Amino acid sequence: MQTILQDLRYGARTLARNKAFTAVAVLTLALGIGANTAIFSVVNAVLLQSVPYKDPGKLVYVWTTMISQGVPISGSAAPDFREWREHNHVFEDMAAYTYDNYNLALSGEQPLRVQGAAVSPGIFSLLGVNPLSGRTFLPAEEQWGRNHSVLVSYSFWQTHFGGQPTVLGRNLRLGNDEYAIIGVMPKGMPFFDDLPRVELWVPLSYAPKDDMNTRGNHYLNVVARLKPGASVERAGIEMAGIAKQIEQQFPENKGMGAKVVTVREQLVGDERPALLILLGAVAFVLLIACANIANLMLARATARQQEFAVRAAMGAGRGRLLVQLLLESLPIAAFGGAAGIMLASWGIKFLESLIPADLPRFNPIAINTTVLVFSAAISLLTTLFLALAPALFASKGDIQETLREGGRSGLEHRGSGKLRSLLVVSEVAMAVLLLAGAGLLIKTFGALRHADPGFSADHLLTMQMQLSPETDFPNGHEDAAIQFYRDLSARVDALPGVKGSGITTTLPLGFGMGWGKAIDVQGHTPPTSLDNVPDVRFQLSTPGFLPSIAARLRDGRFFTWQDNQTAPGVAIINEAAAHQFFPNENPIGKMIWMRPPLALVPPEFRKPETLPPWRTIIGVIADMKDQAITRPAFPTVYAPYAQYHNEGWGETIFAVRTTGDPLAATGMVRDQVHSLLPNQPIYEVASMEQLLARSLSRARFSMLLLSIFAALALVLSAVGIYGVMAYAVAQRTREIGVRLALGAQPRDVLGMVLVGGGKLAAFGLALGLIGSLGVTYFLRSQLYGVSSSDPITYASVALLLGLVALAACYLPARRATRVDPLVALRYE
Amino acid sequence: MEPLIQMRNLEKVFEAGGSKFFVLRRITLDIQRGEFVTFMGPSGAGKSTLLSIIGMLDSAWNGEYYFLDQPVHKLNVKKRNELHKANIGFVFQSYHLIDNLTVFENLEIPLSYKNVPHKERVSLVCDILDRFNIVGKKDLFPNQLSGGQQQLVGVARAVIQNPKLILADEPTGNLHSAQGEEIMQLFKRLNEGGTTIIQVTHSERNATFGNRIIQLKDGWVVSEEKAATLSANPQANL
Repeated sequence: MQTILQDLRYGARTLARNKAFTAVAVLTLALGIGANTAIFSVVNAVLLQSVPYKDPGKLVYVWTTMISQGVPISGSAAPDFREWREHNHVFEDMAAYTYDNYNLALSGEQPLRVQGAAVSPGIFSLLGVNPLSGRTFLPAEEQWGRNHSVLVSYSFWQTHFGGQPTVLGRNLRLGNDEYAIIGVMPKGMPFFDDLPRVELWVPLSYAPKDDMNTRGNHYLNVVARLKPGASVERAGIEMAGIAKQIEQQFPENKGMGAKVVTVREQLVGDERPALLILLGAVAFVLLIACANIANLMLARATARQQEFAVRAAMGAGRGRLLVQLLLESLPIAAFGGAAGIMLASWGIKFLESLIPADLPRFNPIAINTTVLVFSAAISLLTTLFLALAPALFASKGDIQETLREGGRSGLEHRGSGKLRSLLVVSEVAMAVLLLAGAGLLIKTFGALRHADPGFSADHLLTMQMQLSPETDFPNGHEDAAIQFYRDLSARVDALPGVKGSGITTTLPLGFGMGWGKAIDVQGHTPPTSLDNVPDVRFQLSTPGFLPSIAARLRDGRFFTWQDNQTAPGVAIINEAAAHQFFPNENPIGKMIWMRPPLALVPPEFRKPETLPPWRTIIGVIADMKDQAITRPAFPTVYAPYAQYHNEGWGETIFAVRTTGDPLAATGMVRDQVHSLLPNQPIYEVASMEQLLARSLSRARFSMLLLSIFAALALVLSAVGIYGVMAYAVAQRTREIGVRLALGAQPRDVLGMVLVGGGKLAAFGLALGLIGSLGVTYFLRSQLYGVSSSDPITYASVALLLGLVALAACYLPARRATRVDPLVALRYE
Repeated sequence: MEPLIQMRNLEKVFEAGGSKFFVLRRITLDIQRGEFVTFMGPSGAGKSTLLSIIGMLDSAWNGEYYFLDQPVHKLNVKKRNELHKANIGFVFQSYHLIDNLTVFENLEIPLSYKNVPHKERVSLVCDILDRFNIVGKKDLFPNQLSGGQQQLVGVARAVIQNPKLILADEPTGNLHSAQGEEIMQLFKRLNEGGTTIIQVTHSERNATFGNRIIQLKDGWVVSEEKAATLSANPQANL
């Protein structure tokens, strides 16, 4: 123990005496460990930490599948959920939920739009979550009429009720109904991935003949807890069997199956590749940092060769020397680790500002025990790495020769020089990998930013609202909402600085509510079974919407207000729909029907009054990216709101084209809404450019972080090359002196040093480029508009690294040219 | 009693560029316990190499070497190391004190490699500091000492583990004459106390402190003779 303390003390003293070395080593290591800790804290929170529910490994999602229609997983229909719950033998319990928004009026507060969820009563006991106060839902509260109970989140309770314990029993007016608060959920309890963040929960309950309670509406998220001993695979087989039975009983379930996925996989499965790529990339930064410090340690070990020889002569074996070097490295790793954790805590704040808003976060991103253990582990590994390189050579040299050299120190062991060169070559190669990855992501981001979304995002203000027939138009007729939209558009269009406005159900890039519908094309051979009925995306809009977002009309015309309930049904389709359904004909004038062919519809659903009208295609517009800018547009059919009067009460989006800053027009537009409907909440106000940026936030996150890592790697590699070349010049001072004395010109010496450094950089570059071709293959899923072997990126990386390497070699090379032969030889 | 060291046909060869260079040729010699032997000869004669082999720092040689009746040529690295740690102390021309350690810590080093308990180490270091009259220097670093003082510490470091054999390679090579004389007197006293000493030196004067001189040339032992008696004027032989 005393010996260990002595070695530690010696290590600390050595570091204190070599302040420059210590500062460089600790700072380099801190950068490496800090970056790794920060990224690991994100990976830990998103990928590694459990969903904070009881026995989370047993929690699964059960989805409906419609493979024949190209839908791998979908929400489930309420009647299917009930059948699953009743007939399965693999789950302890099963529950369903769906997200919903509510207009909330609280006395003394502006009308609010709050995010809620309708849940099966048993969902919280299934998750193993108890309320902070009050109770959760009773089974009876699932029944219609007994469902007016609400649970509120801790933050909702604090914000709107100041955390008063008397909140239980008080009523909340959600839309048109009063709900009694029966409980407050615990602080920090996420509702699955907290996307969106739910503020209140109501029982999932259906009125008689509620259309949402039919087999045609697949929208419920079904979760279940596996029984002890039951596996996901077994559950999958059983649920597929139950789905088969339902399919045989109910024709509308034809082609539908069931799929069981663990909750963790469902919530974070998509995030894994990008986060793991970042974790891998940042590990390279740490490796480069370690290689740099190992290089410094090797240089120091060379200078200490005599000391090691003396220690060996005093009886120290190789193991003993290794232990000593390990203990000497420990303070560097400890200080580097501690400084790294400090950097990481700042880095996390920086990351928080970059992390995409839609990254699932059911755990806070923080430096917790797991993260600290990770940092300690990488610090220890670093210690080993740092000690290992010099230890390999500490006792390898010829002791007798070293001791005989007397005061002449610094004669480098040949293997040590090779190892130092190897370390620099590896550093450069790793930097090339990171630079190539960052280059490809930068090009991807550029391609995404310049990708054509099919509309114009500039000067476009967007906001959401939801009308309620009972609250907003208690005495109005069924077209009241349509009239409201028409009036609102007319008023807003007349505002100064507004070029046009329109209302729709879904914005491009996945913002807002979208839904799909079956389609039948008149004159085309109908499909022979429900399995084969094609789906399209269906969207409603007022006449002003498509022109306002600058949708490009390819053929025909946009809607007008004359396309109303009394006029013939009309539709506009996008080019994707035109290509799919009318590949060799002009779609204008063709008739479509938003239902499966009548022959395939069960007789009870063929009542004329329930059948939608045939629609004539009056226009074709260019595709607008509906899910993400990286994905092709889905075949889409647009219909006028005025011909869908009973659908006008859903969540709607108001888009306003302005001449100036769109957000500056928010107040004016809000005033117009409130002049027509004073209590109408307006929410999700954003410019379309902000929404576009939000849709690119994941790409931006990966691109920025990888670029930062690549920049760090480049700097560290440059320092590495500089260090090796400076050291080589110092080692060869006498040789350079002799060369100069024999007539070498400074440019010869300059060339000699530059060629030496250039060789290392070239080797590293070549290795890195070959490695990059393999490693960037894994980046393919993150790339857009650029190939993983893009020659321009690789050429740019090679050029950049070449220039940096040249600069790093130039300084030592210049120093070499200034060697005074007289001084150098006198030293000899 | 068996000799402390017995060497039979010991040879060391360097191979370079396909040629062999003999550093030591058929060395056969015995060194008795309590002897003070001097290796002399021109540069490149193989003196220091022989010293390193005796000190078990060099294991690349052929022939037979017995130390305290143990066949060193048959021992593995670990056992050689043990034998070396237990019995041999080194004194170098360039002192080779460790720059970042104080005098006290430098003296402690060989003991720590012998796993001597801490308390005992402290006690032994205090004894040696006292014996060498350098108590006042114990917290100084080597660069705060004169050459003579550094070599004094170097000898103290070799002596502290009470070795049976001290190997000294040009121990006074970097010292001025008075300091060198002092160190050699110290060796003499240690030898009189029973420690076997082998030194390498070019100095005729230093050789007179021992009792046998072995001359080497081109790797061969060319002569063995008894050392001359110390001159009345020590400076004359330096």
